[in-house]
This record gives sequence, structure tokens and C-alpha cells, in this order.
Amino acid sequence: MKQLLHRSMTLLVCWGLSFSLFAQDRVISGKVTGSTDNSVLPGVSVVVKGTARGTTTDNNGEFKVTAPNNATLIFSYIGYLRQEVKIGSSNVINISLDNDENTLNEVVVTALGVKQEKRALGFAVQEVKGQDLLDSQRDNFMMGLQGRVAGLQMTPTSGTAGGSAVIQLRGAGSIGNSNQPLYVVDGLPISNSTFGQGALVTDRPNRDMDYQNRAADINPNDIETVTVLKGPEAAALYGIEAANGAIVITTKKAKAGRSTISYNGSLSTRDMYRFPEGQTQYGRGFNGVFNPNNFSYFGADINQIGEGGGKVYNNIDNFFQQGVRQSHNISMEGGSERATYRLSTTYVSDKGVVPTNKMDQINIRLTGVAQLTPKLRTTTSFNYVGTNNDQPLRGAQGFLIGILAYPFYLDAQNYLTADGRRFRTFGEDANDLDNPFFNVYKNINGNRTNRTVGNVQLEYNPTNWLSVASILGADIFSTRYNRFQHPESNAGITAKGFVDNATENSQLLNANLRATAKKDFGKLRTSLMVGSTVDDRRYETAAIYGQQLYLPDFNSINNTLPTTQRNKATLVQRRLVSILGQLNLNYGDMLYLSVTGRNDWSSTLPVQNNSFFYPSASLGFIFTELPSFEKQQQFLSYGKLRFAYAEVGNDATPYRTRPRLVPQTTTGGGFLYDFYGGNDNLRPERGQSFETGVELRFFKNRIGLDLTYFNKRNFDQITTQRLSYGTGFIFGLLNGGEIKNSGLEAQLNITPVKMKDFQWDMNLNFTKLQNEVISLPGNVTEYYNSDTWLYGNIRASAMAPNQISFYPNLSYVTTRGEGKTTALAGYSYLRNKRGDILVSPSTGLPISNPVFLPIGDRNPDFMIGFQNSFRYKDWSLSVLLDIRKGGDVFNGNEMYMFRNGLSTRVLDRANPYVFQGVLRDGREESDAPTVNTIQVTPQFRSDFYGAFAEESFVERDINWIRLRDVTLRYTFPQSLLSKQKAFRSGSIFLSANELFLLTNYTGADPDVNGTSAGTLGIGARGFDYGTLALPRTMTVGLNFSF
Amino acid sequence: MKKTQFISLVALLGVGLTSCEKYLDVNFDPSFPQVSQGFALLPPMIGQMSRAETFDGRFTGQYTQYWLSSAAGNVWDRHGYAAGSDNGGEMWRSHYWTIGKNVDLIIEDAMAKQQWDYMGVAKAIRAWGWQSTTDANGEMILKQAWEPNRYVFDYDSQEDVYKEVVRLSNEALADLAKTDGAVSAASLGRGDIVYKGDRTKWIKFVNAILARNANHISNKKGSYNPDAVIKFVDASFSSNADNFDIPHDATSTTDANFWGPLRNNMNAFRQSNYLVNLLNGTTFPGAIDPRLAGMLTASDDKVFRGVNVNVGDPNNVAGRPNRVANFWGQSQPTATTPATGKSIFDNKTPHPLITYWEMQFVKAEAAFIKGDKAMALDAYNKGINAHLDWVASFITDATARTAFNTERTAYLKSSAVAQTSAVLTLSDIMTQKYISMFVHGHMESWVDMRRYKYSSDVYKGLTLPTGTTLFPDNNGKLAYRLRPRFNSEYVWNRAALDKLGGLNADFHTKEMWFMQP
Repeated sequence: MKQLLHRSMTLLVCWGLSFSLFAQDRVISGKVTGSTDNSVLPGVSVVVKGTARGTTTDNNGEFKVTAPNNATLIFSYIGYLRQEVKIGSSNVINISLDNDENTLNEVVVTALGVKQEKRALGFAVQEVKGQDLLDSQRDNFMMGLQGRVAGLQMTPTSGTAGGSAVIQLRGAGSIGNSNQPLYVVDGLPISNSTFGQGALVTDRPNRDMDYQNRAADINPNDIETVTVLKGPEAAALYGIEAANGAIVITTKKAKAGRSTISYNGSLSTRDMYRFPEGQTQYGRGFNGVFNPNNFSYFGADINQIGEGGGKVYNNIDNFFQQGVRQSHNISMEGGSERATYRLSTTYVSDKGVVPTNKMDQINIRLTGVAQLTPKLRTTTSFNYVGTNNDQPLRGAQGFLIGILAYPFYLDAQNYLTADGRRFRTFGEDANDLDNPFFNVYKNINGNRTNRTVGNVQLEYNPTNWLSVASILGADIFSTRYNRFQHPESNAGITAKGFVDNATENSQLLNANLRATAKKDFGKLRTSLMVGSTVDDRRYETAAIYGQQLYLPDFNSINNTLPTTQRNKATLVQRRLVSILGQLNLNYGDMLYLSVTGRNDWSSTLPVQNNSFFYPSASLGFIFTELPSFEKQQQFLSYGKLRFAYAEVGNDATPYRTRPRLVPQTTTGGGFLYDFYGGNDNLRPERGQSFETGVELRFFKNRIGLDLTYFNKRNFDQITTQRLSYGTGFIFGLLNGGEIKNSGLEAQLNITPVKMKDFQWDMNLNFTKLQNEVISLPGNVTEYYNSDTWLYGNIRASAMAPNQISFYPNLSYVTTRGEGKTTALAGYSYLRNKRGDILVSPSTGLPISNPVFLPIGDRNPDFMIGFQNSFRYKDWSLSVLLDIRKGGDVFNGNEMYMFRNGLSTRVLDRANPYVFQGVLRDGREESDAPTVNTIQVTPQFRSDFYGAFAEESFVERDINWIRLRDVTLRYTFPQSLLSKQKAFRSGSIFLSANELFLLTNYTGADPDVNGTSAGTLGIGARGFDYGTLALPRTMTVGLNFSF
Repeated sequence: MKKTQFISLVALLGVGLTSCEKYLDVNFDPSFPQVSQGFALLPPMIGQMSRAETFDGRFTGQYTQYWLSSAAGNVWDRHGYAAGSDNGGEMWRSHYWTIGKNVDLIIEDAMAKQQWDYMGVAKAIRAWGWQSTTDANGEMILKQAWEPNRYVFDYDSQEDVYKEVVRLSNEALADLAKTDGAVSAASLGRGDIVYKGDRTKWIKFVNAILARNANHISNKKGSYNPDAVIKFVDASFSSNADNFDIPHDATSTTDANFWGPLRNNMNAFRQSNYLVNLLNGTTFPGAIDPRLAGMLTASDDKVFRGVNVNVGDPNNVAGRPNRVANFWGQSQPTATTPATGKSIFDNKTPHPLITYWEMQFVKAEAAFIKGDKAMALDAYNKGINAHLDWVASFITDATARTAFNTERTAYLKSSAVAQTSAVLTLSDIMTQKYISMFVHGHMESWVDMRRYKYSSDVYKGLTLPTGTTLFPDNNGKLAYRLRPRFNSEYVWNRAALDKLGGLNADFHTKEMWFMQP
């Protein structure tokens, strides 16, 4: 195959050379202005008719394009009439475009980086401007996407600097595989992997540490646009990687002409403002008796016994610090018609609100575009990213649980004893959680990444009807992960301290080649594309672990006892070869039909099943082009109907078709089968997706509405399903199950005011997603992801419908989340057939039902992103509200605090309590069960707190209104700038993130994730346990160019 | 020209497709093997045999009252079980998974290489797995076990599992008898960490499994055959040198003895008063059993104490001299202070899976039932002495060894031990067997207790949980089985389990086939 690549490249180059001899092209230049006010129009698309060749006008409205003799140039720009100009004898064409609010000629980037007029598409796409993401001042641009795209759901892992984030488009189609969209930069897929802790020697479950997801390496300063291809209809050509949609990023390119140097800088501060707060009345102990050696806070009122001298410390405030982030970007661009370059360098330093948490990043991007011959154009980019990220431990052994559990009558800042050892609140025992200060200062969890992404594109237009393009790219990165656990820390005490390191080397190579032919038949314009792609991904991890540290504070594997050192090597390789084709038909700019087909061959499937084909078709009908609509145009300016259908496939995780053996550490060593069973008859996952939509523009585009309904069905899913050990394994690998996702997406754009000096734009994105489990693989009751079983007996699960049918011995089961992929499964209360909770006659406490039943559904009713932008003269203000209605959240922090006597809800412990329910006395299923009247005084019955099942800690129907971003910007007017020579443009801005959150959630922040983005399947969105809420960020910044 | 180019492009794609197959042939894990060989599989499988019994032994040890919880109200003390937990499901895990299909992998490899010895050993291990697991869990997935592409599994009766043990054992014996092909002690010795490649000992081991299999159905008047039991015993171990001792390197928690302080599994357990009384002359007046000091530990005040069912140790407070000691020779255990253990409670002590003395007590019981009291007494004496030898072998201190031997002589001559066949009772045999099976043989002891329905005629002095001390879900009955593994069967194979009544709250009290007449 490598040979094939070589050959194809050689061939391409040969073509280029041969055709350059036949070149008869001219360079046409000119300026485009608006006809109404003669203002220059930057960004106007200039396309040589019948070719893929084209350019856009620069900031001065000027363009240069190479075109053959007798060619026709098409000028198009949103809000203006499209205009065609035939090239005459002059090489200069200056034109003015007329406003035409009846048409929309927006160009968007679609699959494989192909630019298409938005009006030609039969499916929904949505574009976000790079500037909007930049203005949102997030390190991770993905976090800026929330609320700006209908159908997009972003979940951050936590509020730490350098934390990961997950994006799902149109819900989760796969219960066991990745649901992340494909990330494409300038036509090439890049990795958005998040380190999976399975590669560590210690094989951890992705929840005690977070690592940045690799798409966050993309620098918002370099993003021109982000196009979101929401479903397989739009992304069909990308194949299996894009079964969950695609995030297509186009980077900034230089414009020919005068060189520009720009600086873009900002300074932010971050503050924690939401935090779960505990009670400060009862001390440690049990059954109301003070005992400083007892971990839980069921002791006496400390004011009565005088413990701590009545002093209460605000350990929370003392712990958190003000985070500071600074970002500096310098970009230089320039060049001539023949070649342009753009160099962008960014330095970001982000110090989090948790001490020691930081993320430093250097990002350098060089993009060169060269018109080698009039017919051959190359675009080459090179991107280096260096990231240094230190993250505090999270989850059960993290700083947050540590701070909640720390005695409030002790000052947590005194975390060391006089001789420099860890201060313990009781005994020399592993049960004492780490003091949060000790935790972050003495333990280390860092990762350092060096990443290089190179991308070479060749575009060759031998004739006006044929174009050939090829992209070759490599995404190579290496990350060193280091965890150092201090010997005196809670997690390190039994191992006497440990070092858990891994080095991951990843390499993604991708090449694609495609040829596009165009031909017009009267009013019917056609284009046909055929192509092929080759994709090779290799992730190689070398991990080493050692324990029993010689020096307690020295972070090196050399500081561990050699006999305890263990290694693990993991190599994962996946290869994919595809051929693809697309036929586009355009009838009279009114009816657009597109048909695609793609066949993939994946290395991860058994040979007999490794080839799979999937087609897609879409139809766009601009009905306002019909003659009968001409008179309506004052009211309805534009109207389009869309229909699209696509099939998708998905392959398996590499090496799983046959079970593997793993080394054993029992006496004598050797190998035994791992957890995972194989399946030598595994088939690709399949899916079918249908969407339909309507786009309407009213009153000369002052109001725009885009409605989409979609319906996806995923079946034959590949899952590693827990099964009976009768299989010989813990997990079976099987095809099966059927999941449905459907939803409604709406975008509403209104410009209530549009005047010369003042404009107000409203942009509302509405998303309603629904999911349904028709059946689970192997017809089991539940599919769960063990990563999400992070505290207590509750986990993220896909639940089969009709749960009661699985439980012949239960007369009643909880059903909230039944038949949902987004369910919470956990322990509930045992109930009689009427649903009354059963209470033990001997204890007066409810009896829990230790069967994982559906007890919640995390799927929200709907989500709204509501953006308002105001522009007054040189001032602009943009406000983005993120609104969510419904969806359940597991308040794990509250469960922790409740069960350990820390919650403010258990302050009334002295009051007798009668649990509402009926006694399990043999009459519970009769018509007259005995109502419980047994009184319990919790203060003297600490077992009371353990009797509340997980079900009680699922907070239902959580709504929020969150002010995600506000940006106020002042742009220096030209009148001011023209007085000096140094600066050509400039602006200053103020912005804020997470300014407020209004919610009915009782915890800190309902929008966190219990696991990292490395978890597959539905993930642990809505699991709030041991995770930091999003801090509030205030930013000032400026940018200028000269 | 243009045409040529277009054709070359199409041709290029064609070249891509033909070389595709080879290019895509990368689905073999380069980091972890997907096939293996017998000598690399055998050591961890043998390790898993020990793991299987010891993990579950924590709880059967409570049912049989070798030890009880240091805290009051423990569910296992009360013949209950831990709901929603895998505790008590380790035999299941090992039999189906960690030993499971690895057996087939050995057989496959051995078949190709004509290593009949490896094949016999693999079958012997699986036969042992069926026997031990069914004795713990009752009905099992037999006919459909390990079937590819099957996701739910039906249960088969215990009778079928018992028959499978016999069938598989006979196959194993036939394989182990072969000397042709690539059979050699050196080859088998590469993986055989127990018998170092000695096939004759494996043959004895298989006979020991068959002896258990034949003996466990002693209540079945129709099919129980004491002569067959005696025959199997005689073909099995002939001395302690034949014991199936699984070694422990004890370099870390994963290769250390389960009962040792390194693994720290026994911190919450305390020796029972029932056991202490069997050894300190209370139940068997006449002499103190040397194994009292040889196996158990006294409180700080030098008195040997135990705990009773459901009460725990009320003096379980640091510093109290009458606090019941844990098994590692100290009365105030903590996770971080190093501790040493005696006899089986040391990190490196091999785990004796089946022993010569167990076989002798099996023979004694069979002979007694048959009516051959002389043979019964002989086997009874051999059993006691073999176990005393084993306990003595761990005493390295010369003075302590002398003391042990002095006590031993007195004990053997005393009325604590039946001196003649005329006075020998079934209770003597079963109680001595119970003592000698302390810790490692908890599962066999539990089989015995269940066969005799925890009878206090046989197990004198055994105080069982009753009334409110009995687990509330038991409906007044004692435990007769461990539930199949929760995260295997209770979660993913419920429908099949329901047919057995496995979803009933008192399923663990359902009597097993082997103990029924």
C-alpha cells in the first residue's frame, strides 16, 4: 500500500508538470463593492465557472484569480445577488454586487473539505465562525461550541485548566463504542483521542484523572470556520469515522497582498463560585457519640463538647485560589498571487483555581499556499503543539472529596506535621482521606504532549471540467503521562508510594485522492466525484509502574523498589481503505440531488466481513424558485425543503475478534485469557438515518428559520457486553441490539433592528433529542459502562424496555429511564406491587433493592442556545445563554456527604423520623399493608443514613439557565486609526464565561462528567461526584494588526 | 491524453484494491498473545485453583465456623449471604473464566504436539473445577458451557455435573497413562509447579477427585458404594509427599498465600469458639491438642479464645488483653504493621488443595459406614498423624518443636483420640477430619457438614445460628449452597436461574442433590 501511495504521488506530480506546459491561463484581478453604499466587500466568493477554482476577496474587497481565456467568473456573497461576468480582454474586473435578500449563496465546507453552496445541500449543516470561538476565550474550542449549534451537546469533564470535553451530535448512537464526531482539519482527520487509562500498568477506569482531549490542541486563533456536519447524511463520505457526525475545521489562510502582523492577547481570572457546602455542627463519631477516630460525622454537636474550641474553618475558601490565564497570539501573513504564507504562534498559560493545576501550551502553525502553475496549487500546513498539563486527582481520592470530608474544626492548611510528615486527623491508617492541600501538593498527575500535524494538499485542474485533488497528512504526537503518589497519601499508603508512568506515541496517517468531473446539460448541472482514502492509525504505549519509594518526594521511576517495577506495552493499529463516489445534480438552481456511496475495508473485522458499503442520498428543493413564489418574496424570501437518507457502518476495536491472553503475576507467571471473549464472525455495526428539514427566510432575511427532524436507527451494534461467565469470559463480543435516536433541531435567526449604526441579531438554537432502546445485545436487561460505576451502586446504563418482564420475583420495579440509552441504573427501594416502599419491621428503615434498575434518565427535554449580538457604531456586545430543561443528575457529592453525616440535609438528626412506607411483615402485598410507624431518631441510629438508596440521590428534571459567554468589544474606528501609521486595525474587549447559573440543582454544577472523555459509549455526563464545577472567568484583551 | 490520465487513475485504484488484503492483515495483537502453550498456561491456572477455593473460603469458613466475624451481626455468620455482591462466587469465576477456556487452549496445543500428559493434566484440572464448583453452587451450566455465540445458558442438574466429573476424570486417567508421543517429565515439569512433571502424582490427584465424588453421595443409599470410595482413596495419595501443594513465591499480594499477612484477607475474622473447644480439651477431654498452639493464636493474656456466632468479639478494642487474636500471631492487627503467621497463615505456605490426610479420613468414613471398623480406625490414625506431621513441619523453632512433639505423644495416647475400633464413632472421624481440614479444606468440611445437616451428634459442640441470630431471609433454614456468582448469573442469566428458584430470597438454603438420599 505504501507503494501505492508513492506511485500515486509520483503520478500526481507528473501530471502537474505535464499540464503546466499546456497552461493558457490569465490572472484576473479586481475589486468588489456593494452597489448600495459602495463599501468594499471582503470575503466575496469568486469562482471560475465550471471549475472548482476560486478565491475570496480580501479585506479591501480585492481579488486575484487565475482563469482560462473566455472563462466566466461567478461572484457570490451572502445577501447579495450572484453575478456572472465573462472575462473580456481586460485582466481587471471591478464589479459591484446588488443586494438581493431573496437568495442565499452562502458557501460552506462539507465532507472531505469540499466547499459547497449551502443552498445546494439536502441536509442540515451549521457553521460557527472562528471569531465567535475566539471571543469565547476558552482554551478548548469545543467548549465554545455549546449553544451555538442545534443538535450539539457538549459536556466538560470538570472546571480544571486543561480538562477534557465531550461533544455528541444528535445523541449517542452507539452504546459501547465511541460517540464522538470526527474532527477534520483542512480536509484531514485528526485525532481527538483522550488517553485511556487501560494502557497503564494499573489499568485504571478513566475517572480518577483527567487528560486533555487532543482536539483541544486546535488553536482558536487559527480557526476560520467550524462546520458541524450533524448526521451521517452530511458526513457519509467520511465513512465510519463520521457515523456520529463531523466537526470540520477550516484554518485561516493568508490573503495575497500586503503583509499583516497581528497580535491578539488576553488576560483572564478565574474564580470558583459554586461548591457543595457541608454542615459545621456535628463532629466525627457514630450514633451521636463523638469519636475523632471515626471517619463519618455522626458524632455529637461539637459546640456542646467543645471540640476544636468552637472554631470553624473555611477550608473551602482557603483551598481554592484565583486562576489566571494569559494568552498571546502573534500571526504574520503575506505573500503574492503565486504564494502566500501565514505563521501563527500562540502561547497560553492557564493556572487553574485548584493549586498546582495548570495548562501551558505553545502552538505554532505555518500555512503556505502556492500556485505552482496556473493549474496546480498546493497548500501545505505544519502545526506544532506543545502542551504541559498538571491535573489534580479527581473522584473518590481527589481533592474535592478530601475537602468535603476534612474536619471543619481543623485548619486544612496545616497539612504537615512539624517534622514534615503528613498530618493525620486520626490513626496511622489508610482510611483517613488525603488532606486536599496534601493531595495537590504532594501527589503529581501530569501529562506532556508534543504534537506535529502536517498536511499537504495538491489541487490540479487539467481542464475546466476535471479536477483532481489529493491530501496527505500525518498527525503524530507523543505524550508522557506521569502519576506520582506520595507514600503517605491515602491512595499510596499500601503501596508505600508509587509512580505510574506511560508514554504514548501515536501516529495517524491519512491519504486521499479524488477526481471531480463536471458537465452541464442545459439547466441540469452535474458533477461526479470518485476517490479513495487510506487511513492508518497506530497508538503505541509503553507503561511502567513501580512502588515503595525510597525518597518520599522524589518523582521518578528510579525512586521505586526495582522488584516492584512492572511494564506494559500496548500497541493498537487500525487500517482502513475506502473507495467513495458522489454524484451531484442541480436542476436550475432549484432542485439539488446528491447521491454518495462508500465502501470501507477495515482491518479490525474478520476477513469475510471486513468490507461494507453504505450509500446516502439527499435532495434539496428551493421551492421559492418556483415562478408562483415570485410575488411572495417580500414576505417569504427563501424557502427550501430538504430530505436525506444515509446508511452508516462502523468497525470494531482492533484485535478483538480473537480473545487475547494477558500475563499473570501468580506464582510461576504465565498467560491466561483476558476478560474479553472474541468473535470470529463479527459483522460491522450498521445504522440508518433519515432527516428532513425546511429552511425559511422572511422579510428580506430579517427572520430565518431552519427546522430539522431526524431519525437514526443503529442496529447490529458491536458491544463488549457483560454476560454469564458461561461464555468463558466476563465480556462477550457480539453484534446486536437496536437503538433509536430522533430529534428536532431548530435555528431561529432574527434581526429585530438593522440600522446603519445599530444592529441587533438574535440567534436561537433549539435541540430536542430522544432516544429509545428497542433491544440490547444478547437480550440483556442492561448495558453498562464500568468506568461510570464510580461511587455507590449507580452507573450509566442503557436499559432494555419493559424491565419488569426480566424480574419474575419482583412485583414492582422503578422505570424512570427504562428503554433509554441515557438511563441511570442503580439501587432503588424494594416496593410492593402498589409501589409502596417496604420498611424492615426490625429496623424501621427502608429495604433497598440490590438490583440495577432504571432510576433516572439523563436526557434533557430540550436545550436552547440563545445568542444576542448588538452592534452600536464601534461597539459590539454578544451574549450567549445556555438553557436546559429536564434531565436527571446523580448528585454523588450529596450522597457522599449524606452517608457520612456531612450534608446540611442531615442537620435535623435529633428529630425523630418515620420513613414513609409499609412494613415487610408478610402483608405487604395484601390489600391492607401495614403502614410503617416505627420512629427512628437518626442521631442515635447512624445506620439510618446508609438506608437511603441511590435512587434518593438522583435529582430529577434539572433545568438551568447559564450565561456561558459575554463579550463586549470596542473596535477602533478607521477615523482614529488613520491618524497614525503604526496600526491598521485594533480592538479591545471584555468578556466573561459562566457569569451566572440559575438552576434547580442542589449541587454545585449539574453539567459535569464523572469520567474523562476517554470513556466510550454514552459516558458519565450527569455524574456529579468529586468533580470541580466550572469556574467563573473574566477576561480583558486586545488585538491589533499593523 | 485526458483519457489516458483518467484510465491511469482508475487503474491506480485497482492496484490499491488488490494489495488491500495484505495491507489490512494487521488484526493480530502484537502486545498480547492470542494463542499460547501448555507450559505457559499451567502455572497461572494452578494459581487460580488456589484462588478459587480461598476467596470463597472466607465465607464457607464462617458457615463451617472455622472462624467468625470479629464484628457482631455478620451476614455469613448468620448463614446469610451478601446481596448484590460477588462474594462467594469465586469458584464460579475460576471454573468458567480464569481456568475455563484455558483448558481448551492446552488441550488444543497438546493435541497438536502429542503431549498427552498436558492433556491429562488439563482435563484433571477441569474435572476438579466441576467437582468443587458444583459442591459450592449446585446446579451448573454444563452442556452449554463455553459455547460460542451463546449469550444465555441453561443449567444442568448436579447429578449431571457429578457424572461429568467421572467421565472427564476417566479421560484424564487414560491420557496420563500414555507414554508415547511427546510425553516427558521434563516437558510437563516446565509448567507443572505442583508435581514437577510427575504424572504418577497427577494420576493420584485424579483418583482423589474421584474419591471425593464417590464419597459426597454417601446419603444416597442406592448409589453410594463405600468400596469404590476406598478403591479411589487407595489409588490416590500415599503420603504427605503426594499432597497437591500449590506453591507461593510471596513477592507481592498476587503470588502470596491468601491466608498470609501480606494479603491481609483475614483481619476481620477470628477463630471460632467451636474450633478452640475442639482443640483445648473441652470437647475432647483428655489432652490438649498440640495443634491448638500449632495453628491458632492466643490473646495477649496467653489464653486461647474464640468468638461465637453473630456476636463478634466484644473486646475487639486495641489494648485489651482478652481481645481475641487474629491469625497472625498478634492481637492488635493493623494494615501497615508487618505480621508473621504460623502454619498456613504465612505468606509462603503452599496451599494444600487435596491432601493425603483428607483421603485417609474419607477412607475412614467409608470403611466405618461399610462396617469395617478396623480399617476405619487405621485410616483415622493415619489421617490424624499425617496432619500432625504437616503442622509440625512449619515449626522451625527447636524448643517449640520439642514442645509440640511432647504434646503430640500425650494427645495421641489420650482419650481425646479414639484408641480402639470399638469406641471409634462417626463423630470422631468427622471431627478429626474437620480439625485437619482447618482453613485449606473448608469446602470439603462444608460438604461434610451439609451431608450430616450440621448435626450436633456428629459435630459435637457446634452452636448454630437460630431464631433472630439466623439470617432473616433464610426462613429458619441453614445455608446449603453458595449462590452462583452475582455479576455473572444474577445479572446476566436471571431467566435460567429463576427456573431453579435462584431468585428466591432463601435460595442459599436450598438443599443440594449430593446430600439428598
